[in-house]
Amino acid sequence: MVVAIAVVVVLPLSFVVLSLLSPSFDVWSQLWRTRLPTMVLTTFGLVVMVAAGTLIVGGGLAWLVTAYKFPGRRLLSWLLVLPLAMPGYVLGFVFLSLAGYTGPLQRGWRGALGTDAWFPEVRSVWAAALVLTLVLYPYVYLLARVAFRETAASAYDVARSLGCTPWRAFCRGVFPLARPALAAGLALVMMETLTDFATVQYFGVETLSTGIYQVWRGMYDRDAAAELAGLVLLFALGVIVAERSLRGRARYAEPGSGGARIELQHLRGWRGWVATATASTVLAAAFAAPVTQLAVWAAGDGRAARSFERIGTYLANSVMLAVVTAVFVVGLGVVIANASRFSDNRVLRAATRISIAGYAVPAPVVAIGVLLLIAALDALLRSLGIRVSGLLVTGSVAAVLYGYTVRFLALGVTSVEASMAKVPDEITQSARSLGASSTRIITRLHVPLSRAGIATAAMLVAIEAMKELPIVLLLRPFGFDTLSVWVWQLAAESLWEEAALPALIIVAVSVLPVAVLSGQLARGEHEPVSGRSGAPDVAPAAAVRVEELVS
Amino acid sequence: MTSPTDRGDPAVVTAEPSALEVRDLGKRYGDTRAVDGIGFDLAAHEILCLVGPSGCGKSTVLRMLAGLVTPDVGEVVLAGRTVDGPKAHVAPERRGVGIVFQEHALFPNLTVNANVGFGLAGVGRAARGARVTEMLALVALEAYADRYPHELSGGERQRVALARALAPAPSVLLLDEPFASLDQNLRVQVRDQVVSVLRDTGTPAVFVTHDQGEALALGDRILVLRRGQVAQLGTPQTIFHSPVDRFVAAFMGEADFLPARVVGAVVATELGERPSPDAAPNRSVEMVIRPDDVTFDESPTGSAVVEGVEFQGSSTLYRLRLASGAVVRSRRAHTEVALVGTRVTARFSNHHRPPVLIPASDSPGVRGAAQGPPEAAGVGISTDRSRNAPS
Repeated sequence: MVVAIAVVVVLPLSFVVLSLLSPSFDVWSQLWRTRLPTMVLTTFGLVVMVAAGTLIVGGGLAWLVTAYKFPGRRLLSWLLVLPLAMPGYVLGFVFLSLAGYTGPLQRGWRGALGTDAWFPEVRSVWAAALVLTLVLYPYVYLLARVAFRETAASAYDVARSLGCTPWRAFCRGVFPLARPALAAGLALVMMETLTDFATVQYFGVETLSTGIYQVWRGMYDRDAAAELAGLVLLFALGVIVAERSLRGRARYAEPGSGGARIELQHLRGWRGWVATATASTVLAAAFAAPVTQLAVWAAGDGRAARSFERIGTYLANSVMLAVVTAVFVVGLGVVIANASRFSDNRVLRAATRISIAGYAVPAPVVAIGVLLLIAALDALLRSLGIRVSGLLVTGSVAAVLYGYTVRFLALGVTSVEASMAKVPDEITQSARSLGASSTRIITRLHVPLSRAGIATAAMLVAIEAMKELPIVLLLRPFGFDTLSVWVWQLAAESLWEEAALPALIIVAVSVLPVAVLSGQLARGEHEPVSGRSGAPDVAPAAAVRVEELVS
Repeated sequence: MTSPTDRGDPAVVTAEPSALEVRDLGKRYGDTRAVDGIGFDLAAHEILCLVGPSGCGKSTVLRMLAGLVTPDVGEVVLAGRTVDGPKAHVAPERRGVGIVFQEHALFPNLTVNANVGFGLAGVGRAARGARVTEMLALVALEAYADRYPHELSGGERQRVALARALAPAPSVLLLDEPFASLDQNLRVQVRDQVVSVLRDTGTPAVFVTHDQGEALALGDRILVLRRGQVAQLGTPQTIFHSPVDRFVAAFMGEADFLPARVVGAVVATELGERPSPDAAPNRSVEMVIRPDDVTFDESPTGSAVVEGVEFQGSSTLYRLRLASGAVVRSRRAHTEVALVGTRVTARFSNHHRPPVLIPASDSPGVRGAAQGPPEAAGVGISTDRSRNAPS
């Protein structure tokens, strides 16, 4: 069963790998002559910029709230997680509207300095990197905060007692210990950057992922899309290798006993207010300002209301996809998480690891893999003389669901596993000795005992699926729009007011898991972070596992 | 190598067929041989204690018997049926073996009733109800049938776990440190209850414990494990009075060792002579010296020195360095206390227990010193036995 699931998950990825291993010279020379070199360079540059940006913003803010006392520290320390709820493709268009040529920022600037005053180009890779940094820094922030608090406190104290200033104590004592956590956070950020093509397209930035989209949706050139997806996969592998080497020989930060905490350094007077202002500015730029702008638009002159009736349809599509995906993923998650309880078979263990590989694979790669698989299936059926609707190849709801399952299975498996971990092995073993079948143990004991965790997992998956854009954009059938697709289309045409309401709905829904997470962080600071929808927990683990597969 | 078992022991001789036969059981984890060539028989109605220091493999043995861990080699025959062997591995749910864990592992979402009835899935409703009632009566918990596990005390939970494991009438009951999670006062009480239930139902049982006192009190026989191998198998009396080596002697109770020579009818040691248990002439052996065997008199010309004094309440434990440099411990109930540095004359106490002899240890530098094998070092002197380390 688990082996079958693993095969189903890996099949689309293997098609991408296959196409990479059997490169078509024509396709490559075509790609090379057009935009490939620029795309590779841009992708690389973007990934590096976003990684550097999130390291500075996320790591810096984490250290600020961990080691210093300033006005509003407590509130800010958890509000700073909120941008996790802001999808890049939403912040992207709000940013454009505010900072674009006609936006209030530029107008104010020119009003102050004259019409010819220089203003940085908004539709640029720099701006795209800034927007991605603002939405992705919480990954680094969260992991760094936990690491600083739990792992590094004693090192900091020792360094201080040996006469280091706070800053030197950070550099010498804390940073080396927090490095594995920072590396994990950065790996997540880079993966998300590779996945994104919706946001960067607003900015006219051409990465490999946007290339995949254009080649496929624009020209239906499956071969070229497949080769590009292979390249993205190589980038993802690069990220995993980089993470591994950054992490060094250290393992992920073990949550400590939580006893030792860094003694807060009080920032008095203006210093304190500078700290407050810095943190608030980031929060405002990444969350408060865009949400306010969206609310103003949505409540505004009625243009938003015109799209009201269509929201119903798209919302229904989104919810349907989210619910079905959640049921699928959690169902499979329960099976996979339980299987290891009943067998210590090596094949099974490997299969479990493989089944969650999807999270470490950028979304466009998953999507193209599913496309290739369906095309192959279609060809097979045709050769057998069975005619299926020709639309199968160009996309179907089933394909979207397949892609989602591959992508989010890790989330389901690890969330269910985490709650299953609270069911002691002895419970299972006692039940087995009493003659109960595995089905009976799962239904009578495991599921009832991990109900809360399973419900949380379902919620997390549903919300992720609702926000998801790249896979649904690539795989959806014509005429099938979801809330996220609609937001993106409206925003791409600069119909910002219309996009506001659906965008707000997505943000509102996404705030839910972030609130849950913040609650967890506030309650037990030493509980392991489960991240945005558990992602910080999940993705590095998935990344490591993929690497094990590859090597 | 022949395992030092004593099948000729009177307690083991029985006409009934074995409830459990274990042959040459082995399990490796990586390069570690967790269990290496374990073999024993369990007679019907017999209680066997598996005892050994942490990490000796005793829990692994138990899990293999339950089918939860698949052995690499060896055979397990349960009531005449081979459940593990070269070609067989019967899943735990098909073995008919009951298991009771240290943490009880009651199903927290089910009532006591449903917990005890869990293993009776194939039984009709009426018969199941009757069996559950019978089991709860056995452990004197009829009044608690509708409670949930969290509404019970530790001892009550343990009894529910026992009733649950016994309900399907298992051919063998396995108990993994079943009393370790109970506090000291409760432990003896629950232990007696459990043993009497086992005797009443005639269920053969294998206990795992790291507590030698518990093993001596509970077991019809004791199997001492050391690094996954059988160190000794025998009745509690045999194990305590005729340990085969330093390890067993030191593990089963506080022990020091002195070189000794059997000369005719006596055994001679630095502390004096004792009557020899078996008159084998001129044999080099070691004598196991328990603190109760040694006493001393203060004497300015004495050849021994008090090196350590540990007040233990009703008695005092002394560490004495003898003239040869060997150290032995002595327990005295006297009210007057000898101080460290006092010169004394050490001698055997005037009790009539026969001396315990083991083959002479040939390792250098251990002559007479209370060192023993590494695992056993400190076990004898320690009053605080580690409870948290699983084996």
